[in-house]
Amino acid sequence: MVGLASGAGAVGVAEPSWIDAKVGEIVSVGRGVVKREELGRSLGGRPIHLLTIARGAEGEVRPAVLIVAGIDARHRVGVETALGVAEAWASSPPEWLVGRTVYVVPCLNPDGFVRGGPRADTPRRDEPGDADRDGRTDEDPAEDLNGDGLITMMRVADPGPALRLTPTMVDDPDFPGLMRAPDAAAGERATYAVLIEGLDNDGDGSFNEDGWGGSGGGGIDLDSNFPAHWPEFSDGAGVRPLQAPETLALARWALDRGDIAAVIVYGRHDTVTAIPKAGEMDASRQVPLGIEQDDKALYEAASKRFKEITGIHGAPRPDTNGSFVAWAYAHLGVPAFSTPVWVRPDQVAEDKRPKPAEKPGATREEGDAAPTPRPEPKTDEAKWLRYFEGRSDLPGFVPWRAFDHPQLGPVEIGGFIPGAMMNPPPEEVSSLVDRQSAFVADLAGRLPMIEVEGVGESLAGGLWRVTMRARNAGEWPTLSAIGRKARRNAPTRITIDAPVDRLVSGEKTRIEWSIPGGGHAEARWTLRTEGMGKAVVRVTSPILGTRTVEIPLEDAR
Amino acid sequence: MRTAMMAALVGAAFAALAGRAAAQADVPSKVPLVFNRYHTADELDRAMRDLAAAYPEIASLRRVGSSVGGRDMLVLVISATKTGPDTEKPAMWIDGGIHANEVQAAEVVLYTAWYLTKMYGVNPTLTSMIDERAFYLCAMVNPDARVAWFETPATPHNFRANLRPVDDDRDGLFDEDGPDDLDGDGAITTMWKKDPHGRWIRDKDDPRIFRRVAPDKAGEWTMLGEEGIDNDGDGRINEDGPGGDDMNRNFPGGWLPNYVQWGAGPYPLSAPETRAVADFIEARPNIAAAQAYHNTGGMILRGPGAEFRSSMYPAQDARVYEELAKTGEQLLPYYRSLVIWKDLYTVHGGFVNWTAESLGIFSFTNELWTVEKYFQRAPSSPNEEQQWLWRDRMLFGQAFSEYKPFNHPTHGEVLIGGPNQWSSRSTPTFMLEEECHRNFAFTVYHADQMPRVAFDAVEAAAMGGGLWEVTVTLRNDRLIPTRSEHARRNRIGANDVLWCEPEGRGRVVTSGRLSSRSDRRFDEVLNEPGRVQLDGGVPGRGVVHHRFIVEGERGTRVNLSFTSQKSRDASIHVVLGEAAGAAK
Repeated sequence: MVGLASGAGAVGVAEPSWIDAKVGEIVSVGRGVVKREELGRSLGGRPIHLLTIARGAEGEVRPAVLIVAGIDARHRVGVETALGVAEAWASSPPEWLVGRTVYVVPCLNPDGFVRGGPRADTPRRDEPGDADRDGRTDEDPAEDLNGDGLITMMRVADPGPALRLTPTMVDDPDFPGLMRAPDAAAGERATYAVLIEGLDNDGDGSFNEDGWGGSGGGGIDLDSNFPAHWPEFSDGAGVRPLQAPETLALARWALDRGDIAAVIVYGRHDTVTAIPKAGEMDASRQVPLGIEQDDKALYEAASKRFKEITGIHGAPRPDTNGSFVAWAYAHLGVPAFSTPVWVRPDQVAEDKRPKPAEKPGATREEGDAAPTPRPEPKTDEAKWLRYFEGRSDLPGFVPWRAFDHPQLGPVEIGGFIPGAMMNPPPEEVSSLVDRQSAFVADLAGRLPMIEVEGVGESLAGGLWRVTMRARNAGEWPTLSAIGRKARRNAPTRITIDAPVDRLVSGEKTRIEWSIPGGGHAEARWTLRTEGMGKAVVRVTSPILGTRTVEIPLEDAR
Repeated sequence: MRTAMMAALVGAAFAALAGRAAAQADVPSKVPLVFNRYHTADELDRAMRDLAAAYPEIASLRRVGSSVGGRDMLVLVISATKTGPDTEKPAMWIDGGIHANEVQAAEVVLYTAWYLTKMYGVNPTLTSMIDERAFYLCAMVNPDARVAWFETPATPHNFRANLRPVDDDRDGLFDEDGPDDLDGDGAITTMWKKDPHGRWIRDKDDPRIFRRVAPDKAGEWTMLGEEGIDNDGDGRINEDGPGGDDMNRNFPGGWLPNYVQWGAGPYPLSAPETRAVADFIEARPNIAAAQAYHNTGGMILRGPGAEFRSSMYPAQDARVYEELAKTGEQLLPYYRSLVIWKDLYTVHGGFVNWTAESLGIFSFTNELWTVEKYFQRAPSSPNEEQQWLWRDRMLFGQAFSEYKPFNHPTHGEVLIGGPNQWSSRSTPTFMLEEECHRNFAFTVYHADQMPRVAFDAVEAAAMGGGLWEVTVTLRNDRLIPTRSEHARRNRIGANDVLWCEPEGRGRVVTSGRLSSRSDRRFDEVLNEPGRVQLDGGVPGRGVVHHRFIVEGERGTRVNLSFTSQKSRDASIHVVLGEAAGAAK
C-alpha cells in the first residue's frame, strides 16, 4: 500500500520528495507497463508527473482514461488514491488494460501539497498577490497564533464597540462548540464574531485579508483557474484563465491528445453521485453548465455503477465554475467524473462503511450508558462534529480554548481542522483505492472499440462496389454529445486509396463524427477498377489509430 | 448678423495661420517614410527599428515574443526618458494587423510612430504628450500572415488568421488544399464555368459584371468559387487552406471555445502572438487607453462584444466612451460610433473586450476605410454603377483582374478573374495618408484624455490644542477617471492611495472624505487615516476632497502624496501655520 497517511494522519504534510519517490517506485515496479513523463513544472519548480499505463504494443492508439488528482492542496486522499491505483495496476496489470490506456496525473499542485508551516483551510499554493488591492503584497496572511500547527478560527464573545466586529454566530446548544447562524425565529441572537486565526498585520481594520490561509490572497486556486465558466474577478480565479503554469500545462497536454475518452478527477467536486444538470446552457446558449441532454444516459449509467461499487451516495457539491472537471467536459469535450473519494460514513451505503470499533477507544466505552438521547445532527457541520466525536483516534475538531489576542484581547481559538472533512483515517485508504480502481476498470470496459470489415461486389466488368464498415463494439459512442459539439477530437475517417477520377460514386473520404455504442458507420463507393486488382481502404480514428483493409477486385475470367 | 460674425472669425483664422506659416512647413523625419504606399512586414519592422535608432531619447524597440512562424513580435515604446520611465506614466496601447488582410491597420500604427517621433521638440502639444505619456505601438500582431498577404496570392479576406496549421477538413492533413493562383496573376480571384443550367448571366453592356438570374429565367454561368484545384486528390477544392486562429477571438475574459465561434483557438491565449501581447499589457498596469485597428466599414467600436457582459460598462464609464467616440466621429468623417454586439455582431474573446472588461482600460477598435469615402457625398453606399466608376476612373482598373480562360483539371474550360485583393477592404493608396492621420489624431485625443491628477489646493487650519485640519483637493483635469467604475466594482488593479505623512513628531489622528471643501463633517476613514485607499480613484474631470486631522507643532512639515497606477504620482507639502503648499 501507499502509506502516505502513516504517522502524520491522513491530512498530514508529506515530505517534499514523497510524490517523486513514490512515482519512481511505481515506474520501477511497473516496468514495461508504466511510463513516466513530466507534464510541466509548478510555480515553485516542482515536477508535475504524468504516468502512462498501458499493456501491449508501444505507440498503439487506443481509448484512454485520464485520472487527475491533487488539484486542491487539502485533498490529500486524492493524491494517495491516484498513486494507489497506479501502483496496483503497475504491480499486477489487469486484463482490461489490453486495448486501453490510463493516464495518471497524481498531483497537479505539488507546491500546495508539500507546503510546510501551519495547515490552513485553503486549496492554494502560495503565490504573492494583492488581494485587497491596497498596493501591498501578502501583508496580512493568517497566523497560527496558538502554535498548534493549524490555522483554525477565532471567536470573540460579545465584542464591544471598540473592536468594530459584528457578532453573527451562536454556539449551538445542541452541539457545543459548533458555530452557526442564530435562529431569529426562535429568539436567538448572535453572540460571537468569528474570524480566521491571525492578526490585522497592516492595521487596516481587516484580519487576514491578503495572504496565504486568510480570507483573500495566497494565490490562485487551481480548480478555479480553468476556462469553463471561469469565475472572473473572484478571489483565487486568477487574472486570466490558465494563468497558473500547472493549469496551463495540463490543459495544453490534454488538448494535444485525441485519445482521451473519459476523465476522472479525485478532488473536491462531485459530479458522479448526483449528475450535473442536463441541457442547461450558459449565457451564450451554447456551452453546457452541466452536461448535454444527450449525455444524460451515459452519466446515469456511470453514476449507478459508481454507487454500486463505492457505496458512496452523497458528497459535498461545491460550485464547479472554473474547475478542471467542468473544463474537461465543456471544453475538452469528454465525459468527466469528479469524486471526493472519501465522504462521511452517513453518505456511504451501510454495507460499504468502514467497520467501527476495531480500535480501542475509537468509540465510546461499553456500558457507558448515554444519560439522555442526543439530538440528531441535521447540518453537514453538525454531522461532522458527531463523526469526529466518535473518533478519538482521528483529530477533526479543536475545542475552543482561550487566547489573549494582542489586538482583540480575550478570544477563543478552535474549530474544524483544515482538511479533516476531506481526508479519511489512514486505515481506510486501501479500501478506497480498491473501489476507485474497480470503478475505473468498469468505465474502461464501456469505452468505444472499433472493428472494421469490408467487402467488394462486382457490378459489371471493371465496375465494382466496395462497402466498408467501422463498427463500435463498445458501450459508449465514439464521441459523446459534448464531443460531437466540441469537435475537438478528430472524427472517424474512412478513406479509399483510389484516384478520385476512378470514383463513380462516394466521397473519397467519409467522415463520421460519432458512431453509437453497438452501431456502425458505413462508406460505400462504386468505382472503375480496370488494372487495379484491389482497393485499399483506411479507417482512421483517434481511438483506433489507422487500420488498413485490402479488398480484392479481380473480375471473374 | 451671424454671417458677418462668421466671416470675421474666418478672417481672423487666416491671419493667425499666415503668421504661423512656418509651423505648417514640412517637418522632416530622420526616417524618411511616405504614406501613399503600403509597407511589407519586413519594411514595417525595418521602419520601426530605424525610428528607435533615430530617436533614442524618446523611442525604444522591444521584442515581446515570436509568432507561429518565428517572426519577432515588436513593440515600439515612445516616451521621453528624461521625464521618467514609461511605466510610471499613463500609457496608451495601439496595435494593428491582428487580422493581417486588414492591411492599412499596420500603416496607421507606423504613421503614429513616425509622426510622433518627428514632432518631438517641434510641436508643443505632441512634445508634451511624449513627455507626460507613453505609447506602446505594435504594428503587426499577426506578422506571418502579413508576409503571406503581400508575398503569396491572397484575397481581400485572407490572410485573416494566424498561420497555425489547422486541419480544417479533418482528414489528418494540415493546410493541404488551399486556393491556388492558377492564372499566375498574383491574386486569388473567382472561377466561373459556362453552364446551360447555371444561375448567373454576364451583363451584355459590361461583361465584367455577373448577375444572378430570376428564378424563372435561364442562366448561362455557374460560380465555382475561389481559384484553385483539388491539391490533395480527395475530390474537393480549396477545403483546407492555410491558417489558423482568428486571434481577435483568442483573448481571455469572455473567451468561449471554437464551437461557439470559429477561430477561438483551443484555449485563451493559445496563440503565441496573443500571448506575447497579453503578457506585455498585463505587466503594465499604467496602460489606461487602448486602440486596435481593423478594417472595414468606418466604425469606432467599443464593447461589450456580447450582450451578457453589458454590466461591465456601467453608466459612468459609458459616458466616457460616448464622449471620446463623439469627438472621434468629428475627426473621422464617415465613421460611426458603435457598440460591438449591438451594432455589429457578437464577439467573445476580442482584444478590446479583454482590455476593457478584464483590465479596466478604455479601449476602442476602429474599422478603417469605408466605401462611403469613394465620392465623399452624404453617407450612402455606392451602387453598382458607382462602384465601377470608382474602379475604372479612380483606380484605373488596378483592383480588378480581367477574366481569362483556363483549362481546369476538374472542371475543364473555366474563366478566372474578378475583383482582386485590393478591391474592397484596403484604403486606396492616394487616400492612405489622410486615413492614417485622422485615426492617429483620434488616438492622440484619446491619449490626451488619460488621467492627469494634481493637488489642486492644500491648506492647514489650526483647530487649537495642537491639532490641525489639513484639507486637500486632488483634481483630474482629463476625461478618463484613474479607476473606471467597472474596475472599482470588480476590484481590477490596485486602488489609488492618498498619503499624509507629517514629519518629526507629527501624526495623523484621523481623516475623512469630504463631498465639498466647505463641508464641516467628513466620512471618516477608520483605519490607516494617513494612507487613504481611493478605490474609486479620481473621477474624470473631477475632484476628490479629503481632510486630515493632524497633531503637530507649528512649523511641522506635512507631506502629501498621491499614487495611482493610471496617473502620474503627485506630491505636495504644507507647513503647519504657514499659508499654502507647493506642488511637486
